[in-house]
Amino acid sequence: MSLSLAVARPRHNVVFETMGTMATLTIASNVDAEHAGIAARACEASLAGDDHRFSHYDDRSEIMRWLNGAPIGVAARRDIQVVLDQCLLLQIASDGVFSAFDPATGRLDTAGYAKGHAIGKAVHAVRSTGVQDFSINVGGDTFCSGRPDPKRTWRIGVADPSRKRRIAAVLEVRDGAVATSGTAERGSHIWHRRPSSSLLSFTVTGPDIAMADAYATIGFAMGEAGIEWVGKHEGYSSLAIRADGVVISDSTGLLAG
Amino acid sequence: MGTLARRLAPAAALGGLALVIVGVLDPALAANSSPSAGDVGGFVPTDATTQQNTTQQESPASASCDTAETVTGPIITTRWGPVQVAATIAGDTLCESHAVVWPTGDRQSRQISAYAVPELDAQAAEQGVMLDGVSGATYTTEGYRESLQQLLDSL
Repeated sequence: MSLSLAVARPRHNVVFETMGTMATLTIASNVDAEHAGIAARACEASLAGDDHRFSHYDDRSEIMRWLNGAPIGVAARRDIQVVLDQCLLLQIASDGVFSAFDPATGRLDTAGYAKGHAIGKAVHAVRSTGVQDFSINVGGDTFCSGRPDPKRTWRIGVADPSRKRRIAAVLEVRDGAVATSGTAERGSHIWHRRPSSSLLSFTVTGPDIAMADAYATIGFAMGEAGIEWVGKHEGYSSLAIRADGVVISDSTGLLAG
Repeated sequence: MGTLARRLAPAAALGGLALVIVGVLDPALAANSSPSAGDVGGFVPTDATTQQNTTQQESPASASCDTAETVTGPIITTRWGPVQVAATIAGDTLCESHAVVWPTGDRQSRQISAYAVPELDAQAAEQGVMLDGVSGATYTTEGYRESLQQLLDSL
């Protein structure tokens, strides 16, 4: 086994802008260029569609038009309903730590859930083209499907929040999500952060990207208690980085068997 | 070795984890291992480590943790999944160790354990650990330009 391998560079890597951030679609090298191109277009179109659906920064987005009383399509209404339902369930499950409403203005802001929801739909969009081995990273939230090559699993670094371009840990992921929430987060949907929290970032792994994203937001707001909270959810694990640089996680507990 | 035992004491509370780490982190193994990339038995120093080795040869008396070298072990497959451990070693003293790769998706144990943040910078990421992507608190388009993800995408 060689450890001095360079950063893994599968053949297909597509970077594009969406939802106010950058997205990277990485497709395993065993997929031919034509199919990779089709998958990339499906991924980009899916995310662009959801950007147009859920953006709170664009008055012409479907959710803003719906909020302003303008007519929108049935599919859009149903999709918005799904996100609103999930936000409410998360608010209940987290005792109000998570909320789709900005407490300062009282206005709806579904950004805390909609982004993960959109990534999950992009995953389905890529799979529907027949490509099964890929990873999607949108602004630091990642879903990994299959394998980058038959010999290994996807490896996702967890960014060190206090040092640029450094990683604090590496997670091996197969068919799962890695989502991170932290002080560097864009937007302000972490509204109920407990003052006692001394965390710089909170990472969650699990089967569903939208839930992992939301759990990371909630866990970060809860502080270290968030690790236990996230662990109550089947299939989800977390890793938090404290202000003093210590990494805490429940994943290594697994090794105790 | 006394330092080693002290550092491993918290890990012993984790049962199986201690076994895994002891197997990987024996400083003697590290000392005997060749710095070649294909070495499976012990730690494989990165280029940065090699440079520090040279420095230590110039002043062998100062084998303290201040001048310790960070090395990354091979990925070990356990029945729970792959584990990789990074360690900081000064001479025969293990200053610090931490898992840099461990299995995900567990649902049995919720034990919390603490590790120091591994000293894995972008260079180490390029040379020592294969990375496919980076998860971090959301960055903006501008923030992406300074991110490790951007660096990975550019390679």
